[in-house]
Amino acid sequence: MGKTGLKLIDENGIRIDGRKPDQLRPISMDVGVLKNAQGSALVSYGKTTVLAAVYGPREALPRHMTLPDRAILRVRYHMAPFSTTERKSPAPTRREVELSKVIRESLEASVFTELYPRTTIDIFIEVLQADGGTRTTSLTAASMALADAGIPMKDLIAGVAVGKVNGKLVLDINEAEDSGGEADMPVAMMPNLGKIVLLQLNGTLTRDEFKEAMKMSIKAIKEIYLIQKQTLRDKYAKMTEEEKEE
Amino acid sequence: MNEISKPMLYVQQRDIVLPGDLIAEGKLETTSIYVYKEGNRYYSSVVGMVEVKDDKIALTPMEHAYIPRPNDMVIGLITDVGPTYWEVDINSPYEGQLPVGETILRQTQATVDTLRKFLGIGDQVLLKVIAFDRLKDPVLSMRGKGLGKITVGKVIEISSMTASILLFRKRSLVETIAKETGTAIFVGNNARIWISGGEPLMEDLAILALKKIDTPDMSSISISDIVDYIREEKAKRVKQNG
Repeated sequence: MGKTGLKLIDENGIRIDGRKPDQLRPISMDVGVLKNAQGSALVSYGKTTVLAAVYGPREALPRHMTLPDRAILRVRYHMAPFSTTERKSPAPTRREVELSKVIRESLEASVFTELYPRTTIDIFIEVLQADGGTRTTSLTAASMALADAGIPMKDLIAGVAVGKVNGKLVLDINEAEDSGGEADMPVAMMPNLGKIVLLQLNGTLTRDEFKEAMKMSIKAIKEIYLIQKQTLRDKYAKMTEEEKEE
Repeated sequence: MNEISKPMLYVQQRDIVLPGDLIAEGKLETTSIYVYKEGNRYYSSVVGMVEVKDDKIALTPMEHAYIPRPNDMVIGLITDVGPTYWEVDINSPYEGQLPVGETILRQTQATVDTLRKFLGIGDQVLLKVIAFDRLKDPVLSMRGKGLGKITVGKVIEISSMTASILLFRKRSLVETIAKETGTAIFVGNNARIWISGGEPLMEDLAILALKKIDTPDMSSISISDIVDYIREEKAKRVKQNG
């Protein structure tokens, strides 16, 4: 039983939405969805849908915020009022401010900010629909938008959350599992370099569970990474085909 | 000895690479700032296309911000007039500055009024970058052959990748379009193009042709393709105009 007394996994090990414990939700991605942004991406993990847009590098205003040796990253993570079941006030909450910081610090590990001193790179992340795992979905989307904008970075970032529900580790938890479960651990990595850029843990896991959860997330991140790469490659392949049809 | 120093390449000619893709291992010669080194491995940091030439790697990014370099020719847009200089948008994260001393205007005459009369907000100008060191904004100059205010023709913006290909590898494409349409085409380093000299119809045709090659797949477009395209469009338009 979960915290709320809800049964989230049945006798056959099938989860509330019909998935196996180590199964990801259906993932869809698209890049270059906004024309006015230098780079943009729309990413869905199941019902969680996030739109990320990158503007820059551009002149930073106010000027005193700029750094003489590198660009600053400004990240705004925001949940749309209609993204949750009950209307969320559009004003930034403590949680959103914190998540903006967490996402920014993860992206800073990858972006070569020293190439553009005295400028800013603005990243706007809008959660259009929230169903658990929004911070990892946001990171995946933001890194793709950065790549689409042509901003040099070490590697793409992919993230996924592992949770503990009814005493069992489950991959890519949704809202019901997040609120009814015992633990939630978002992980984000630069998969090609094998470096972890985000690791948070809410709840408790034993050492063995932690190790197992890491293993599960790394495997899933590699899967997501493949989709990310394919989506970016497809953008250029698709444009080529359209050209031929004309 | 040679065997050891030769790099191991993981990419082929014209491969599309993504950030984090391994390009080579060993000792690699590259001038691209978009290739980074970790240990003795070289990775790409952008979405781009690699060109391999005798173990040398060039990486053309699909999108990139224009970083000014001295002697670059740029097409700028005046955005503000200061007491002794103009602020110029040069399609870059850094705003350019054109000091009075770098124009034909005498410094003793410089008042905001004379400056405004000489170049107003919204004017397009062909300029040269004379200094840029990342601590100060790029300094531009109007002194030089062909530099000055753009009064005729049209200015368009293309993608940064197409601009670098047109500038450094496929000049012939620009020359062909110019010849076919009877216009003069100037490609600025900051991905802006100035088309001038022809009738309005011909200028529009040149723009159409430039937009046509402004795709990620432009390397597959041949000169004869573009000649055919211009002739076809020309015939259509001449017929329409009776």
